[in-house]
Parts: sequence; structure tokens; C-alpha cells
Amino acid sequence: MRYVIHSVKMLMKSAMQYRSSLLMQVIAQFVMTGGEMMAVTVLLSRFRVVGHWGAAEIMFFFGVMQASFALTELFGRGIAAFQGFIGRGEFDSLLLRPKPLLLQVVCSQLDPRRLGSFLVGAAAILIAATRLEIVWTAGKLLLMAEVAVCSVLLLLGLFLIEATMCFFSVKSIEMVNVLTYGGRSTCQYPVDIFPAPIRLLFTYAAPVALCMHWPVSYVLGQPMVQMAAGWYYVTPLAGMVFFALMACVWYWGVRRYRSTGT
Amino acid sequence: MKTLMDKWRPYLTVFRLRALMETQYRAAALGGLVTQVFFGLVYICLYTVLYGGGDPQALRDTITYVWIQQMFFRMLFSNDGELTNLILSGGVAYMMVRPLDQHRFWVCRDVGGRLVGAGMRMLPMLAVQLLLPRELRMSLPESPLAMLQFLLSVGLGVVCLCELSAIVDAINMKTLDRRGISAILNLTMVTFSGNVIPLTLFPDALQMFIRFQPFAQALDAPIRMYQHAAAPGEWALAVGVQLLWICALRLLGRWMWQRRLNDMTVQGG
Amino acid sequence: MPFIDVNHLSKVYVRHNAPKNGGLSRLWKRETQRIPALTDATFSIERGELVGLIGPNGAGKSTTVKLLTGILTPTEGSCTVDGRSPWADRKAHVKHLGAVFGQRTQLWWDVPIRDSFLLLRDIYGLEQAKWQKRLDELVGALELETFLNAPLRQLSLGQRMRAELCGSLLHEPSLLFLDEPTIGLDAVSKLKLRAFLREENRTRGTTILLTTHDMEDMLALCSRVMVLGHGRLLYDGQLDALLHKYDTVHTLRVSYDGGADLAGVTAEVSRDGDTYILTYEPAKLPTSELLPQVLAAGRVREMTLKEQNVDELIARMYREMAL
Repeated sequence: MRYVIHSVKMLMKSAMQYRSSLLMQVIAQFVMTGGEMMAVTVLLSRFRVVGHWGAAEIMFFFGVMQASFALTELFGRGIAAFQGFIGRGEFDSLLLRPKPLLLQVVCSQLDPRRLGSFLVGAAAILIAATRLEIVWTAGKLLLMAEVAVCSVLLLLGLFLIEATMCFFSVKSIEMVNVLTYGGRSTCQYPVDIFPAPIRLLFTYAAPVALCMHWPVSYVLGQPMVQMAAGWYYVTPLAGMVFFALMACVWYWGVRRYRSTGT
Repeated sequence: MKTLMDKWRPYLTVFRLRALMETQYRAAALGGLVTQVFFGLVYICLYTVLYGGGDPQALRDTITYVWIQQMFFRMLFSNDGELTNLILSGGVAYMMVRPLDQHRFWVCRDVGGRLVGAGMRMLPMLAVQLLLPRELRMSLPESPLAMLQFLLSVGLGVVCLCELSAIVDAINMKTLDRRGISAILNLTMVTFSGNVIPLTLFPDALQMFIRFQPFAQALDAPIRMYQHAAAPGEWALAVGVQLLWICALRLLGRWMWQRRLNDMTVQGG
Repeated sequence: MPFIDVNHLSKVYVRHNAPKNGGLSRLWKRETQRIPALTDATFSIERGELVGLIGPNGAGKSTTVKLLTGILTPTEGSCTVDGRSPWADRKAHVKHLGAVFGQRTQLWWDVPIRDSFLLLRDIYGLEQAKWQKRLDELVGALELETFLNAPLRQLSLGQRMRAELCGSLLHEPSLLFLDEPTIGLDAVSKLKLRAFLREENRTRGTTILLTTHDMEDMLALCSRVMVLGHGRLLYDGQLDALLHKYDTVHTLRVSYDGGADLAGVTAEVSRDGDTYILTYEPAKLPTSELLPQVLAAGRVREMTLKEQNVDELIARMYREMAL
């Protein structure tokens, strides 16, 4: 734990070295995610509804996705940008240090620029929640917090797939972007509007729906699936499980990397 | 005539070399193909839900728009680290030991890469169309004339994009920052060229503005021609607007490059 | 008029820095800093000369080269190369110029170097036949055949330097600038590169100006040398004369069989085991006077005379010039 705190402190310090340029980049991210929000708004202004979802609900889903994704990139840059890690040979130096590898990778990089994206996501959630007049109970707030944590873990898991492929010198690594960035673009809309193949992919293979859409639909008072309230607190845990599985796969990749060298 | 050819020879050569080089990047093209097909399908599903059976013709047009948009996605980015590295390392100044018009040189190089890069993704994506069920497939161009107009317009669109890029590069030379301003500019380019959502779906009140701004010349203008062959007068107007923007952006870009290079000769890079 | 004519050339860099403290105001406040890089340099170089430019880091070597290549404009003073101003007449000037910057690349990073050369043919408007002949010549001399189809990024440092050199000489420039050409090369590559440059200078009369930290380069290539320090030209003349001027202390190591009596030796004597170390200044005590004294002192078993190492000598020169 001391290692984590210390690393984060160091990273913050180095980020603050370039305060003015950092501020510019945070603003840039804010504008960029704001642009995506505008795109959704343009569509909503033309079509009013998306399937059985109204504009405010769509904005809520959008906000949850963007905020979780921003948090993932903020804290998980080490994993999200793992290719560069291997490319620059920095990964080898991590292998020399006596700390859990995955923790080192996560702690070695921070991406404070994503604060800009996070703010847009959070704003979208707040605006939508006000318009929908959601009655916040302790249970719902707790659930949202759980959704945030589990979604970040799930997304980290998706990035870990990409990171694992870096060990195998696969050339078309961008293909995995389909799951990460493609997942963001797809799942900023509630998954139940899509036809079965996409819906199943993002419910059971990469369980974004379990982690995010099901519990959020419950919070919005329009549950996607009918089940006892308690279950909505259980399904997000799929994100943790997914992360754990992908971490195992990644460690398997590390073992291979160490024995063969890429 | 001969002197004009001589004058342009190095720029044509760099265009050709960059185009050839792009054909080497087959793995990247494959990755791009998968990504773009996936995005295309997701968008099409989304629009199918949005239209909800209300306006089949508009839906078909939008689906076609989405496919062309995805086919030419690669065209929007230069994907050329060489110039970026030169700018960030200050190496642009050292290129001045060559008797070259650098602005023209990099623009020509860029055009070569984008044309071939986009072509390499477009052709297999056309083939993919044959595998798709009818309701997900793009439509044929309205007529052979529309196809011709489309192809010419795409060519002008690429040039337009490369001139825009050169302006971003000039800004980067000043700020030396890879992500801030240029990231916003890239987003603007992607959004207002019609690559995020079809420009035809923007509010009707904004259409006049949306259609004639520079970014629309890159992708939106060609797609509109693909869908509806333009009458001669209309066509002349559309191509005229493209040419006008190319000239304006080119002048601005040249001026900015000259200023930046001049600064470098005073400041030392 | 000399080939290169430089008069009172000065360059001052103006840097704008954000202030160290001041929080948000760093966004718009700026501090201006003036850094003189070259001050009042005057020299001339004739066609066919091979001139070395030396000096410690930050002395103004690269600035001088950049001014002469037209990459930089001076703050003051004038300079002509073959009657042209490098910066005002840049395009005409660079047509007759070759330049290799050791740590920068002038070729294109990701295309096969053969393609880079092809592009250079068109950039300099060379005729196909002439270009081909020259390319064959350079490929042979620089031994590029084996990696002609590899992109620059895959080449080793030595290979890259050779490729850069080929690229800078294809258009048969009358003037060649080399900024630290041997940096990071292994011993064999260095020797080959030097031999090639000497040959190029001898057969074609190419004027070569090179900056380096490597004194072996200087000894092997340049008869004339210019020393820069703190942006000023401190010495301009024969390399030999410079060496002679600072090569003031010699060391003679002598060991004797049996005892020895060095009382009659007028040099400064110290002992390292059974070896005597004599240091003396040849200007005051000629070696021809010292040797008989040493021989008279006992039965000499072994004797080595060491001049100062050139690097040490230059370091001493920098010290004495207070650089």
C-alpha cells in the first residue's frame, strides 16, 4: 500500500511539473468528450427516442460509460498504453523490481488529462438525473459506486487483453480496440436496443451490460431484466471476475515473454 | 512545360514512394478493416433503432453514408509518424538543407499515404458488403454519373484534408504539443467531416452552414454526390466549393509553414 | 574573394520561458532570455580546404555550421559562400551543399534508403545516368550494398552514418558540412569514414568543414583548425602549431639495471617502483640535451617517451583559455 501511495504521489508531482500544459490538455479532453456528447445530442434532437429509451435516460447511460471509461484511462494508463511500455523496453526494468508486476504497471503511469472526460461524463449523469427526477436512496448511491468500481475493473480487463497480445508481437493489435473503444462507443447506448449478436457479446462475453446497463436501468426505474432487487447488486461483480480472469491470462503472457523474449 | 514537370518531379516521387510504402502496412489495414466493419455494423444497428421503421429511404441513405464513412476513415488521419517526430525533435529545421518547398513536399507525401491507405481498406470492405444481409448492405450509387462525381470529389476531399493537416502541423511546430490543440482539431475534423454522425442528420436549420464548412468538403460532399448525382450547375457549385476551400487552406498553410520555418531560422529550432 | 567569407558574424538566441513561480500567470507571463551563441566571428576558407571546428559543448560549433548551411539567420554580420548568402539565397545555396548532422537524420526514416536516394535525385534534379554512376561509386566506396533495401530505422549507427554521407554527396556538392560525423562509431568504422573523406577531398576538391569532439578525427583529417569557446573564435590556424603550443610537457619513463644516480638530470624526477618518471618542457630543456644525462645515470633497461595525449592537451588548452 505504501508503494501505491508513494507512486501516485510521484506521478502527481511529475504531472504538476507542467501545470499549464496539463491544464490545456485537461481542457482539450473536456472539449473532446463534450464533442461526443454533442453528437449524441444531435441524434437525440432529431429522433427524440432511442427504442424505448427517452433522451434523458440515454444521456444517463452515456454519462456512466464516459465517466467509467475516463476513470479507467486515468488510473489504468499503464495497461491501456502497454504497447509503448514494451516498445520502450520499460517493462524489462519492472521485471527487476520486487513488487507485484501488474500493480507496478498500473502504478507507473497516470493520465490526469482524463479528468476532462470524467467531468463531462459526470455532468451528463447529473443533468440527466435532475431531468428524470431520480429519487436517490442510500441503496441506489451505493449501487452507483459499485457500478463505477466494477466497470473500471471490467474495462481494465478489456485493456488487459490488448496488453497480453503485446507479448506475442501480433501486428494487428488495433483489432482489439473493437472491444475497448468500440465497446465504449457501442455501450454508451443501452445494450438492449441492439440485435442479439451485439447484445450477447456485451452481456456475456465482455459483460458491460451486467456491470453497467442492468444496474443503471434499475436505478432509472426501468429495469432491462426482471429479477429481485438484490440481484442488481450481484451482477456488477462480473466486472471483478472478468478482471481477475484477464489478469491471469496476462500473467500467463508474462511467463511466456520471460521464457522466450519478444 | 518541361520545367513545370521538373519542378514537380520530387513531389510526385515522394507521393509515389509514400503510396508504395503504405502498401507494406497490410497488418494495420487488416486491423483497420475489422475495426471499421465493427463500427459500421454498430452504427447501422443504432440507426435502424433510431428510424424505427419510420422512413425506409432515409434509413437506406444513412446506412450507405455510414459504410462510406467507415471505408474512408483512414483517409482522415495521416498515420505518418515521420513528420510528427521531425516536428517534436526539431528536425524540420535540418530538412532545410534540401532545396525543397517543405509544405508542398509533406502535403504530397500525405496525399499518397492516405489515398492508398484508404483504398486498401475500402476494397475489402466492398467485398464484405456481399456477405451482408440486404438490410445492412450499402446501396449502389444512384447512377454511373454519380459514381464519377463521387470519385472526383473524393480525390479533392483527400487534398483538402491534407491541406488541413498541414495547418495542424504548423500549429504543432509552434506549440510542440502533440495532444492538446491538435487533438481538438482532429476531433473537429472527424466530427464535421461527417465521420461521427452523418452531417445529413444535423439539425435542418444548420444544414447550410454544415454543408459548406471546410471539413464537410473532405467526406460529406463526396457522399452526397454518391447518393444523388448532381445536376451540372449544382455539381459545379459543389466542386467549386471544394476547390475554393483547397485554395484557401493551401494559402493559409503555406503562409503558416513559411512563418514557422522563418522562426526556426531565427530561433534555432 | 574566398570561397567562404565570414565577417563579424554573431548569433543571439532569444528564448521565452515561462516564469519559474507564479501559478496560473505562467500561462501568459513570459521571461525573455538572450543567449549569445556566436560572437563576432571572422574567418575565410578557400576551396578544397579541410577545416576542423573544435570546442567544448555549447561553444558555438553547431551554431556556426547552421549559419553557414542557411538553417539559421545571424543576428549580425555577413557571410557568403561561393558569393551567395546562405540564408537570403537559401535554395540556390543548398543545391551545392551537402550536410550530415551526426545526431539528426536527413534521409527518410521509414523508406528503404535506395528510395531516399531516388527521391534525392529528383530533389536535386540530377540526370538519371549521372546519378546512377555517382550512386554506384558511393555505394562501392561506403560499402552500402548489403543494406540498400533496408529502411533507415533498421540500420546500425555506422551504417546510418554511411547512408547519410552517401545522401549528402549524391549531387556532388562543392561544400560538405559534417557535424560530429564519427559520434558513436566503432574504431573500424571511424577509420574507414576518415579514409573516405580524405579521398573525397583529394579527388574532387570538395571543401569540407567538420565539427568534432574526437581529436583523432582532427589529426587524421584537418590541417587547419578553428577553436571556439563561449561563442568566440579563439584560434584559427595550423593544427600542428596549436598542438606544439600546448604540448609543453613531455614525460620520459626510464628503468635501470642495477643502481642509478640521477643527480645530474635536470628534469623533474619522481619514482614509481623502480621506474623513474622524468617530466620536462622541451622548449626549455630540449630532448637532445636530456637524453645524454639520462644515459649517463646508469645502465638503461627500458625507456619510453610520451607526448601528451591529444585529448589531455585539448583539455589543457580549454583550461588555459578559461573555457
